[in-house]
Amino acid sequence: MNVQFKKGVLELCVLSVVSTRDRYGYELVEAISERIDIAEGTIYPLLRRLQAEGYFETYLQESAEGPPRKYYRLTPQGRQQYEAMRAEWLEFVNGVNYLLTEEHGSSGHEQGAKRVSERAGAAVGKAP
Amino acid sequence: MSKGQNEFLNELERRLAKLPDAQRADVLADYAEHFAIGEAKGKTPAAIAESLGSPRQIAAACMADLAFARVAEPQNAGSRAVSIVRALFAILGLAFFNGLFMLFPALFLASMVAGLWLMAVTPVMVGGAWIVSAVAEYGASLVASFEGLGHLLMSLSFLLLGALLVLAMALVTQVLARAARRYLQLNFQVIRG
Repeated sequence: MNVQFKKGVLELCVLSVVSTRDRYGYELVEAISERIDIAEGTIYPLLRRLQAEGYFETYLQESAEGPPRKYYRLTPQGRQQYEAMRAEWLEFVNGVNYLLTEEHGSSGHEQGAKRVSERAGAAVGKAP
Repeated sequence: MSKGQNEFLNELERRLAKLPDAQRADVLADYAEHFAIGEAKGKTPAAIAESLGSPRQIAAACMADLAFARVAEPQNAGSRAVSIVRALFAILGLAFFNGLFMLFPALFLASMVAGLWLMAVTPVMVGGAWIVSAVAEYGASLVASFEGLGHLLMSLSFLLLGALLVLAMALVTQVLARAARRYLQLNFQVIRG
């Protein structure tokens, strides 16, 4: 898929994953890369930027296995941004889906088919 | 620390050399934590490094973000120009990963501007050379003889035409530079997602 396109959507995906509950980096990256084919390392700069923009705050928490983990939490501002982006995305996808649906697409095919059959009929009519 | 992890973190550190120390340490700590958790979950360091992707691409994303923050800061004209150039290079670095999105428009625009400048400067040079040759040919009779006067007027009008074109090009260049900067910022927003 187009890299630019993926990057734009990635921000929304990250916000969405953190919106359900606080996540540590590894977990967040895993959740994204399970579904979207992307170089996992590029998610961390995005997290850093979203934090700098005030959408995330972070805190450290000890874990039973391994080192303490840095958790990401959505700020009220981040939640607002998430809701706005989510609404925008759904509207966009609805529009695209409409344009791609069988119904909409096939009406074009039918017209084409009709035109072809008319031409065929004309040819048959002309035939001796 | 194992080999795959060492290699990855060392290369990333080297490529982030221009970041302030604290920021670089922050970035590296994120990836060190990623390796530690991945290994605790039973992955090999090599596999973790593999799915993280190239340190080069990660570093480019970090540097582009930083460079952009610098452009956004209010500064004096000189250091702003420097930081725009730096941001441009950071973007170009990213653009290589993103299908040369900006390099081709930039090259096209630059060659177009260069061509137009050549077109504007040529009449000035031709007019100048013409005057010199006229002086050499007619000498003192340049203004006295009808032929010499005609020659002089022709070359002067050439000079004038060239000067007008140069003036117009100065304006066009200014407008294009402004547009290019806006395009640059637009691309930043696209790249940063």
